[in-house]
Amino acid sequence: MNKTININLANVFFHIDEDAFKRLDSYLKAIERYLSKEQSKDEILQDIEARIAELFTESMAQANQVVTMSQVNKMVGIMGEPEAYKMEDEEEPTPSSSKFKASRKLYRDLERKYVGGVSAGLNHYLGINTLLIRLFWVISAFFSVGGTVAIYVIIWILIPAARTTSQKLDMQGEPVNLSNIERKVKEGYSKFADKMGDIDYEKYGQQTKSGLTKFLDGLGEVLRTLGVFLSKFLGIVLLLISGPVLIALLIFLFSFGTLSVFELGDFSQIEFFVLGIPNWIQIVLFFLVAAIPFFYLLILSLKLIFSNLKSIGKAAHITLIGIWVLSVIVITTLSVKKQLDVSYDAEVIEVINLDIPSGDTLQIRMNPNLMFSETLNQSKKSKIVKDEFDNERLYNSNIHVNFKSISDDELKLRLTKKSYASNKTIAEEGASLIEYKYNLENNVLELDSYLLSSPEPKDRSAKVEVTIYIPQNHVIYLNENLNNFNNRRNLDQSKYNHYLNYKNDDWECLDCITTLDTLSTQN
Amino acid sequence: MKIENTKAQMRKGVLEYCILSVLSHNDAYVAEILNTLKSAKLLVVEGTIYPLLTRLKNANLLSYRWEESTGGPPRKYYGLTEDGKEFLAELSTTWNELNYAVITITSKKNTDNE
Repeated sequence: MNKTININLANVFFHIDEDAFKRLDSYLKAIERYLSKEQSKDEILQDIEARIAELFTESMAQANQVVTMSQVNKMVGIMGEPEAYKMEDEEEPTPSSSKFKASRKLYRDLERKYVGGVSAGLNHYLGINTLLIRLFWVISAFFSVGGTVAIYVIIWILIPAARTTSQKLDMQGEPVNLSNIERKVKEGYSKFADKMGDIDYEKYGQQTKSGLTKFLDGLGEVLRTLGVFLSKFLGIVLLLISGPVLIALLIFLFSFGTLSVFELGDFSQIEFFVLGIPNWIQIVLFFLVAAIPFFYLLILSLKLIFSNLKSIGKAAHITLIGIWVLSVIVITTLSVKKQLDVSYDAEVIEVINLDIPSGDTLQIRMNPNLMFSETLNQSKKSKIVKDEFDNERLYNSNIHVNFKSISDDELKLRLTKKSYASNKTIAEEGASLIEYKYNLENNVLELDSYLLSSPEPKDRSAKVEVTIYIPQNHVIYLNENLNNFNNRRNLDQSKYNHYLNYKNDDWECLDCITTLDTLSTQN
Repeated sequence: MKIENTKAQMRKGVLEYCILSVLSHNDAYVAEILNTLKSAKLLVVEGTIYPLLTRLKNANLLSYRWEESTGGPPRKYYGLTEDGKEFLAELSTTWNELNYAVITITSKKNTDNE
């Protein structure tokens, strides 16, 4: 059993088998391509169609017979392959020349493929050397940490392979460039002028279109070509936005993701990352929320540029959108929960007078405990440690050191022990349990770089703020290991390990090299 | 240089002349022109003739009229215009000269070889 299609060839009605129809259709389209340079292409095609109709009618024994593949093949044998329609004074078509009017479509070229045939297909489409395109993929893959590989795979999935002859012809069609687009606009116009001038058609009454329809056809062609140009342009702009963003997101995912899985870096200071779940899960969630819309933007841009894009399939759409919605929900829920969690805080404040004569220099440095940690960093991350009495304690290095000017003559130290929890009593208890030590000896102030608190309950966080009040003209010497704990970054690196004055919330260096230099030049 | 190309070029060169000649006796529709050309083995496949006919018509050498046919689609009957007749006369002269030249040259070559 065969499915048949009804066609109208030169106003004669035919039933035709589906496969025979496909053959006939591609035959006529191929002829149209070969005649693309011809001025009266439409008229020639009508003549050809009329002749084909005649041949079909002749070969039919009875009126309602169906046109079969063998009849179409016989017709092609009589009429000749599409090449025969080419006029003799045209130069031979070469694969690279822009002979064909049908605009090029991007297909994957499986005959010349290395991986997926994407580069070979792009070679046909863009007219750029295949080797250069392959080099681009390889080199850009290194620079984008594999980001462009993802784009390659996306194109691989979305662009169909050229399997049929007509697809292969389409693949090698006219390159899409500005001069071709301009020519097409002109062709559209001349076609319309041609149709207007072809009054002979009118003699043949009803069959031909009315003058107005022809005019609109021609105008439509011009507008359509402009539309194609605009949509391709928009597609390229969108591609230039979505491509790099996706690559950046992938780099973000792989670099930050890997670091945090192995706990190599410490991102807990960035509030953004604190949702109370492992960092790498948060990173994947944020990646999905940001990347999926850009992935769709990328598909849209590819769709605008390459009209024959495959759909990624309903299942993939549902999965992607589902994952996106889920990620958004998880992030929102966790953020809200976290907000509620830390909504209570309590603090215990201590103010200590540092008994140092105004003529003496105060040295300040951080005092780490190697028993607990090797690094000297400010971090919210907590861990369980054992103290010297083998008791379990909760350790973190969430210590913030600030400096303030004071009009008094006396140096003062203000300690604020803060605790956050979901419940006010737990927060208050937590604040009172925070253990933080400092040591003042021989005008040297040693501040612990960590705090210890009770390991239970777990969902409580602790923080210590150290504020040092400095009278005017009191000389201070800051050890460079303070750098990571000084939250007000008004102190640049070069001023550590120097004698400083603190005036109007700013540090003045007393023995820095630059100062010495200016002094020596003045001398 | 392919022999097929050269052959096709030679054949296509005289095609216009032959089409005009066929139409010099009486008007004909495409299938009739084709039959004459095919029986003389000038044309193997039909495709070539359609662009050519339209070009000759656009050059005002041919004109056509529509005629109903029994059973098939309406037919285009082509005929020579005044311009076409003049064109054909000129082509005839050129062809005769060319024919003479070719025969003279090729036969001379043959006698040389003998």
